[in-house]
Amino acid sequence: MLVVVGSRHDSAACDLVARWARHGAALLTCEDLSAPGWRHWPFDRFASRAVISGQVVRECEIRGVLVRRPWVIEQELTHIGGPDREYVAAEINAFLLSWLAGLPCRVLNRPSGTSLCGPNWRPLQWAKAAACAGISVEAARWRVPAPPRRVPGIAPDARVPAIEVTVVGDRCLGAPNHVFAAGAKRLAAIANTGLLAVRFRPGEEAPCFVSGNAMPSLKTADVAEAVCEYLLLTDVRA
Amino acid sequence: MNLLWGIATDGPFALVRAELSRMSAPVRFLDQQTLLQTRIEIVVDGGVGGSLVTPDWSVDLASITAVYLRPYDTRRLGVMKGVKPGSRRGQRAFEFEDALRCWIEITPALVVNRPSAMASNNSKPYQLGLISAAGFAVPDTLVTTEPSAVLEFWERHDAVVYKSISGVRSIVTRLRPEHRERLSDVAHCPTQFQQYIDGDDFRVHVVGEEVFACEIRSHADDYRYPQRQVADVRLQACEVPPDVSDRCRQLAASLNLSVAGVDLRRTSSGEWFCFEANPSPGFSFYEESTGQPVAATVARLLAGARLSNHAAALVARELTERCVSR
Repeated sequence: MLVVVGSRHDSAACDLVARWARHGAALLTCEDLSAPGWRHWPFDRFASRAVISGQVVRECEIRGVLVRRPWVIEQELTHIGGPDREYVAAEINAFLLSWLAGLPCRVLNRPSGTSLCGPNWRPLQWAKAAACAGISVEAARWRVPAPPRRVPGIAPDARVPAIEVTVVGDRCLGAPNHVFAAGAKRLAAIANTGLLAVRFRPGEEAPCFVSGNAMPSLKTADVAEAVCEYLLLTDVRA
Repeated sequence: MNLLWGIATDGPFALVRAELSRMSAPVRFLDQQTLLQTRIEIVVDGGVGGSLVTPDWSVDLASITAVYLRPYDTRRLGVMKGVKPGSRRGQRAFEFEDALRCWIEITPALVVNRPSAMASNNSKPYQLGLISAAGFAVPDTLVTTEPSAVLEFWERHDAVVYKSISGVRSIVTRLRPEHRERLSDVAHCPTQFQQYIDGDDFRVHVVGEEVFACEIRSHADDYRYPQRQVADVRLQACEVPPDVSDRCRQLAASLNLSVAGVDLRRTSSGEWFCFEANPSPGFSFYEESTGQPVAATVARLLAGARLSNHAAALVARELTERCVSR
């Protein structure tokens, strides 16, 4: 089976489960984390059991996992009494981190410690990583408190639409040429993510980095299909 | 220049600050309580620069060679009393902290310790996997929402403890017969159970390459909270075998922690178990009893960070070259 870790209020996650129905896709919600049946043996994954969409399943039956949330927030836990929600949310996040990090199947993306789905980087962290990946990066700033708003106007570069390139494992979708693809793949390698959307602005000499996103929407059919194919490949610790 | 970020009265923080002062090392103390009056600008343009401006001083971020941080939960700071999270002041406070943490992640300065490196401690079973990979024995562990699984685990191991999975309310407690009637509660929230390991407790502080070991004598299930069982705690400086010291150093290095507090237990058969690597250890508690110069060593590590900074630049350059050549 394929597992999508997300909220039942996340329509993109629900759409993916429907799209991947022929592969037995199911949604793992925060309600599943408050249901009897979980047996997580960190050092014996064969004996471990999970609860997916209310059903107890053996971990070895899970072929691939797509993570669609950076963490579980306490406001989601309406089935838990108010005073305990903050604690239960912390416990569920800590549990999911351990569970997702150790799964023997393919996981997009594995947790990083600060997020359940890849690195939870801020824009400046992405910019620095992009520069490290050899991608052209414009100077990026962050001021707190923020400076007063400028007179409305569009910078000349902003009129050029950004190009989004999505890395899925070894594949790269949406890249106009190999320069975009190679840059996106290098950034994915630095971010340690199998799934990454990178936005570029075309430049005269080289594409310029705009943003990175370890949790792209997957609304495009070919990207969703590429993710499905990647998750179904059977190898260990992808 | 060393940047210290935290609360002046925090034990380890105060000791490190005093040691740096004694060494006449250049220090900027960023009081966490001033977060509503402090401004920050970060610039990424090949390098990482910017400025930090408080009511009393300002500093060029590029001049900072080392950072020591022990921030408290912003929501619980005195200065945030009465400030609603969604209010303008609340947003200002959280955005400042977010920006500062961002800079801490990307600065080439030595950081003790980066939040991303400390994050492994937020999931105990996750960190336990990393501890095991570093060569330590670890207790058999089950995380479950299934009451019958707890009973099976309890039967397998005569003595069992439970503790939180995250860092919240992380107090170790022995599972006792009176807990049986409450086992059904685990269905609501994954709960961590561990084989109880009988033996002597040790805390090993790793500071760079230096190791300070301390033996703890206490009858409490969790000696860090002896008042819960009216138990006393005695601490004594000691030596641990060289291979154990080496494993502690390796564990800290594998977790990218320049300073760590490693919790160990030695069984009667001489086996060493490791439970946790604390990425922001409260070493003042141990230093008070043992006299070990942990804070002075942390201060020396920070003050000598020029070398580390140079090493970081080399690593960054090597990484860039590797990326570009791929």
